[in-house]
Amino acid sequence: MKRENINDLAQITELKELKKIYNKIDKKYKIKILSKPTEQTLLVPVKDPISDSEFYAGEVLVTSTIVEVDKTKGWSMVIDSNEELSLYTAVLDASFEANIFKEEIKTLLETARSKENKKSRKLNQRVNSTRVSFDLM
Amino acid sequence: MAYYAIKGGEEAIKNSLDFYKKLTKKAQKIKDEDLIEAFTFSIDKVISEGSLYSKKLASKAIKRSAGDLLNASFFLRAHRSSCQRVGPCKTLDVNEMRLHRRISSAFKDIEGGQLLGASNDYEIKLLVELKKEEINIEDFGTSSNIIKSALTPLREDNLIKKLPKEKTTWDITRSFPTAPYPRSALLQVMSRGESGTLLGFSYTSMRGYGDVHPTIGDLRVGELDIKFTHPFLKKEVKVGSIEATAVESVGTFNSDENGETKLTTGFGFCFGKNETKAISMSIIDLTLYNNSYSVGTEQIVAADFEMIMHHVDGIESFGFCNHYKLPHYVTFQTDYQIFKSAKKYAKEKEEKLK
Repeated sequence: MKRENINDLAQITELKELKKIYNKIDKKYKIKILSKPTEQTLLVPVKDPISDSEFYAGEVLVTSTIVEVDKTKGWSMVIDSNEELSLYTAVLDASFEANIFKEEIKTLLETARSKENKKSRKLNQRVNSTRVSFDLM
Repeated sequence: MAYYAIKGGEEAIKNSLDFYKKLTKKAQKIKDEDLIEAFTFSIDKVISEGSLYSKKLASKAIKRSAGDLLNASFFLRAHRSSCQRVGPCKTLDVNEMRLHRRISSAFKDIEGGQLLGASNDYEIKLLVELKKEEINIEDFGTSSNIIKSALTPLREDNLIKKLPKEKTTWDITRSFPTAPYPRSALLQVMSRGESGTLLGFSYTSMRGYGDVHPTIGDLRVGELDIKFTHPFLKKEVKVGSIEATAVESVGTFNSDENGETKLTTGFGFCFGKNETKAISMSIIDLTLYNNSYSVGTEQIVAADFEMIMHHVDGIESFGFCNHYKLPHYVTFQTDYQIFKSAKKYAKEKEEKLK
């Protein structure tokens, strides 16, 4: 698992599990919130297949946080209005980089990934069960 | 005509708000996650027309407006304007969509096949109840469906009409363009447009006042990843994924800018599961850029850039319509006085002539 996967994987992890590890880190190291969880928007450009240019389809709401754990900066940007999730994710991002509870973070997020993969496979089976098979009459 | 300031009604306004809260208080008891799951199409309509992808806020807005979806979109649009914008995410390409549903009525045999997904389309048409029999989905494949558009092979063979590439992408939320409207601005207006208005305008085309019978080349509903650059790592990370609907409709043949005859297409894209809206958008797009073969040529509604650019935004039309509810009797009273004076003058003149 790489640092660039943390942001995505934290969002599929149970919030209570993230909170547990956040509390552990907070107890042992100094968590400094440099930029508190803030709602922001990202413009969403979409490729137009007809002109090969792009256009903006709207904006997506995200919640961003910047923290510092043991002098290492961490960042998160999670989808939708999610202050707690954004804070925990930023702390995980910094801690992973600073080798703080790294193995524990990896195990937690990898477990979530494996659960999510199982869920996606089930969803794919549902979708694939609706594939049309034509017969000429 | 004159305007004059009035005051009053503070207590009535306070009581009205209190009355509204009482009337709609049961809606507030619904949990966000329940509403998001149970009324997925309402949520998706609101995020699309509100032009802000936030299912949580859409749920709160629907509850606050007690199910008035246009009003809920209005709340979302207002919230959008209060947030700082950090910039654009990585450009989305519908060919990279993880498909949950995919239909083509123009081409039967398409790469990857047709996926009905979760739909009630056939429930009404066949008038049959689904038998309560167990469906064993374990018999089906687990792989996700990332399939290129059904029109990609035709595009690669240069059979589809292309439009000129724009150098810069217009953003109508920062400045609204004047005619001739950039294509990116037009598509942005339609992408956040009101579903019913888009349907109404596109229906004029379907009924014959435009490209007579467009078909669906590729309708796709699925998930797309939102990616942004990590500020410390300087690498692209996945922020999350969104649900979206994209449609490429197919029309008749027309000349491109080099005079070559090509197949015409229209594109529709919007947030969430909004098939009717995306189909309508693609038909209007098709008609706007290919009106020469249409019945009525340039005079038709669905091929009128002014009409589309200025009338499809639900929040604007909703706001304009509802401002009439605010006191306007001042104007009416002035008109009424003029009418009374004119009537008196006419009567006096008539009596003088007797």
